[in-house]
Amino acid sequence: MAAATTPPPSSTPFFLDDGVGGQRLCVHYPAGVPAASATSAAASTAAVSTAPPRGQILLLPPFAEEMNKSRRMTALAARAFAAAGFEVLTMDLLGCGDSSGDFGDASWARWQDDVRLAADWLDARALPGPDGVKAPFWLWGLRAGALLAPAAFETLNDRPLHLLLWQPMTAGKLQLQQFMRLRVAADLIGGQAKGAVQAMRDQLARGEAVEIAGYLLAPALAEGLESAQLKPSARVRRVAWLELSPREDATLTPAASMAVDAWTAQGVDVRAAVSQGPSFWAATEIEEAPRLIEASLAALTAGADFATRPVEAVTA
Amino acid sequence: MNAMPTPAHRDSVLRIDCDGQALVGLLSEPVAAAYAGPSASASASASAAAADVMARPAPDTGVLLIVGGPQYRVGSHRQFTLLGRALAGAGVPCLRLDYRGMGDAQGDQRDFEQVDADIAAAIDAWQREHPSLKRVVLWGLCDAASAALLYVHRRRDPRVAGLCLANPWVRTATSLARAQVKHYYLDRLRQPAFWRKLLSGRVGLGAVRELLGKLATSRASAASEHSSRPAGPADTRHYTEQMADGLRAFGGPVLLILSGDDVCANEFLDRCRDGGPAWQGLLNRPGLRREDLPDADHTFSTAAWRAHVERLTAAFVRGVPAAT
Repeated sequence: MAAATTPPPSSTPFFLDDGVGGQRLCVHYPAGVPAASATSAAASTAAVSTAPPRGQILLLPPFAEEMNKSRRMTALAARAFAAAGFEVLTMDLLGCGDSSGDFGDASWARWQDDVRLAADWLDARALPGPDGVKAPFWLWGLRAGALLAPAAFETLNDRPLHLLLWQPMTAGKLQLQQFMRLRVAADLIGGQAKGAVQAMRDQLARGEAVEIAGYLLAPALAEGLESAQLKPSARVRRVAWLELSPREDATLTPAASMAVDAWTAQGVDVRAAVSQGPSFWAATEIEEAPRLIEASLAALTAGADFATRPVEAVTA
Repeated sequence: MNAMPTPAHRDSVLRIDCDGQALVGLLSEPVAAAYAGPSASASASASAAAADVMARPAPDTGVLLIVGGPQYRVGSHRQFTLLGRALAGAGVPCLRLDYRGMGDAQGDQRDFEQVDADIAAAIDAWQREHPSLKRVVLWGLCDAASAALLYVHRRRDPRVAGLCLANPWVRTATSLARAQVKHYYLDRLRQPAFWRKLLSGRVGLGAVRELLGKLATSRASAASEHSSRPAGPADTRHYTEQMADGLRAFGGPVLLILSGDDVCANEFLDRCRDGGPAWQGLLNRPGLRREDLPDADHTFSTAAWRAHVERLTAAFVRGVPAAT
């Protein structure tokens, strides 16, 4: 049989056409045969399954330079998820990565459009199972990417919707603040930091873009990001809230614990865990956090016991 | 929704196989109708310009952008995406890629000293896709500039027609300490404010210890870091010596771009000045053009600095002599 000699297709990078909006660079990872139903040799090369995927996963990328530093980790995780039987799509938003436009062309609304474009593309590939329902759709939000999740809620209204959150930001104004501080740090070295943040805010308020760490930030992006929030929604069935800590025995931060309680109060099944590993999105060198991928796989493949595991540190 | 302006470039994905592992390449190419070339007059109609370009042979020289440091093919603040597009807009096709272990590429992480096979695989794949491509200019920032020199030194690939080296990486423990002492501490020693602070006791003991430590490291013999094995098929000498040989022996033109506000560029200049016989006179080698951006930082992190680098690169590539 040809499949025995032909190497299995790996991921496929391609441009998704957005008409007059240009094109978006995507990477598609077809679902492989889960390790449990494959021989160990086949599992190691992730043969492509003929069975329907266990679910679909869309990455919602982190902000600006954080995406560059995360690329190795998200690619590793996407390959691991695909090997476990999930179909995965990653997309560069308008003005980011290899997608059309300049960062200065981006606005929060257009990024929300992009998320719907990607979700629709993936959703159109899913077939209903024997029960007439499609497999779960996981929105995989990393850092500020989590804030884009609600944009896809209504477009995926006929199937189970789950969130896989990696160190999520639930208020965009924090991300904006951190980003502006990059410029303040640079100005400090140049000896002109006084009132730098206020000066940038004034400039944005006048409708002018500001250049921060090589990125041109337009008012339409700054405003949208500043007001973006991820609030608990009963539309979601499961939330895997995964954080990282350099410490072995870390527990959830108080803010994360409160968010977990709020989601639970909405009737959502929540699994929260802290894995030991580096903050790869902010690291100087490229870092990997394999335990975060393990914790994610455990959450993605969990059955009815998804939320019954106590909130704890993952020390696997 | 606003339409994106019609770009003067076309981006596509080029898949590259390197020892059985898939690498992701992004190719930016001139759009025939948009690229009128330097000879087209401004008043020529679009269709005339298009016809002119259709008649023009496909570009036979492209830029292979090697990505260094902790970055994937997009680069810090997207500088490589934007550089690739700017070059394509100026009529020069550009390929950039993730080498093994980086970005979306398969494989284990590796450093710039081990990417010869990735560079060769990228040129092979590009030529397979576009047989009209005869030659490439290797472009590298930081340790990717080092990787470019190591590649020409080890592979002597006749397809490489030129080199663009931005802030090349020659770091050793000694070179870093030297550059810091020279370009930071000595600056401070010249500032009256520093001495006032020192005499008033406001300079911490820790800072003084740090300076003394750097001075000691900077005086360590450079030879202790170097072995002296002759060049050969398996050159195991220190990578900086191999870089120097690569730069000396390379037959094509070289564009050296240096940032004024960058310790890497300072270390490189120090090395050219006091790096011993291997580096002697290299800055004056025939065919090397040096361009300084006095205010720019290591990654050229403003739109203005990026545009400057784009212009320098496009002009340099157009001047690379045709194959004989």
